[in-house]
Amino acid sequence: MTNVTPAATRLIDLVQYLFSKNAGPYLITFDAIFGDDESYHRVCNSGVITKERMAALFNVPPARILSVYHYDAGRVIKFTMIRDISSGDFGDRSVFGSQMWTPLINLEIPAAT
Amino acid sequence: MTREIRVLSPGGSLGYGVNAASLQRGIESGVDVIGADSGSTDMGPYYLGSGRPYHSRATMKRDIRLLLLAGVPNRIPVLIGTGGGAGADIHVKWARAIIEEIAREEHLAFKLAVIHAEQSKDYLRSRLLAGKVQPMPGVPDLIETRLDGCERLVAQMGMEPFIEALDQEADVVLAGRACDSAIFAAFPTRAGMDPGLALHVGKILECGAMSAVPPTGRDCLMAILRDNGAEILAPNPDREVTPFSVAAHMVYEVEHPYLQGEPSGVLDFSEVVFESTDRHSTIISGTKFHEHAMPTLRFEGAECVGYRSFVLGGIRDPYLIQQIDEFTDGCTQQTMEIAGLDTGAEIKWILYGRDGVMGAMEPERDAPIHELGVLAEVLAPSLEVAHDIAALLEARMIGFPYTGAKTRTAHVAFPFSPLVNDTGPVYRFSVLHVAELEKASHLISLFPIELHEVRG
Repeated sequence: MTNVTPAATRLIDLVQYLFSKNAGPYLITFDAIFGDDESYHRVCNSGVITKERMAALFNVPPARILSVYHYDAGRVIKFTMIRDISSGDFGDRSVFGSQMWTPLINLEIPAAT
Repeated sequence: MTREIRVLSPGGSLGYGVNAASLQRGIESGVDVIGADSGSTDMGPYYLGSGRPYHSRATMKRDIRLLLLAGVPNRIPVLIGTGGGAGADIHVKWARAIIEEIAREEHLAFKLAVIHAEQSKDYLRSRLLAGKVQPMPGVPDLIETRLDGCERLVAQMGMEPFIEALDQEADVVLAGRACDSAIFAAFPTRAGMDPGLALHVGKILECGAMSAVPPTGRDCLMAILRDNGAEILAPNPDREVTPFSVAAHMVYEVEHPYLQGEPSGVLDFSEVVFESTDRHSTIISGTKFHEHAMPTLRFEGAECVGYRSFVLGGIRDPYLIQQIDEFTDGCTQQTMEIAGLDTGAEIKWILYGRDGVMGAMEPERDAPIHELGVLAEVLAPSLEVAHDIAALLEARMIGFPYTGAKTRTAHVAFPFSPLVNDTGPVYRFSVLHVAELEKASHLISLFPIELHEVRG
């Protein structure tokens, strides 16, 4: 028998819910909610969801990523972005901050070590 | 005997269509107070700025009728927060007229308390000059001219004015802009329950059955507060409330997962315990509340930034899609040349199918495109100017000569006649700031209460 290194998994295949939403008119918050502890801890420990990585993924300056939190009781990883245009102002593209999360779908999560 | 207070929420937003069967089941199970959140900043600044209501009047009337018929004959107080969507005086007046109309139609008699949340600019100005105003995260610092430019200013009341209205024996409370949690926390706190637990319950109930499985904001949720915790349950038997569904919802549309600001302090969920029951419900306990030395209030104001007209169309021509930036830039340039440089107008293009939703954040901007939705919007100092410039833009969209054109007809498929559509004023939340109060009593005195004997 040979040892097989498990392949990386896409974030979408580990979460129960993945979405973006306003946290007030000047912020968009992104929530990855996990249905089981194993997937939640795997993504937490992977170090993939950081301010720097999220800034690069969304093509925004790192200062626009306000915070990243892990909340164990809800099995939630959350990060929040400062909008460039506030909700409903001229040039806004999403009043509710929805539909901004899809670049997270294919985020590669390395195998648990 | 353990005392308990039973609170019902009809859903995430009154005016979206309450689930009447769930409401009936909830009331039959025993309810001490009905709370209903009826507004937000979530729909953007237009409603606060323009003074227009957010919801449809017909649906709002249907929903309020259901609540009044559930509450008033059964002597269950009905508390409505952020009336009319944005909670300024004009919105509250709109909602009050609906309440009084229903009372006449249904022959209901009750004491109505109307709580105002609209503020003069003087109080916030004095706190600004005293250095006691902070922006919410991501919001620019407040400057006096921006405050002066607001169409309307509201402050988000806590539970204190609701408690005051209940002390004055109101059967129905219609409040202007209010913290969602306060609507649900006021009655249990007044009855002697722990205010931190009551506010936590409010945070859960304000979105209706979003804390249930399957989640939705369009169904009822209930809480039973006891001395050692609160049980969260769904009246609809097709939903259950699990520790995970409650905990996961607590992070919804907030920046911090377990610290959340209220006027009189900060709610702390870091040590909350969630226990499931054998009744498809979940009990929460262990909420902490760190009281501020001096309370704060969040102020919200919207200023008009101009007037908008737009042209909407679709492009299927592959040769034009290849040249789309040349086309949109060329249309903008020719339009501005003809209109003149001193109009004060601005043109923005949204290209659905390429990067319409995400703009500069779109990672797949270079993916193949077979069809584009084109939204050209114009912002100008008056609606007349916006309309004129959009008309010029529309004429360019018909005939702009892009490189390699194969067609001699209009380049864009327009779905509407009229081709130019005017949406009117555009607003911005220019005030979204927290002020430390001068006196704790201002938590009540800034929100005047009117009492009306409604005789249907």
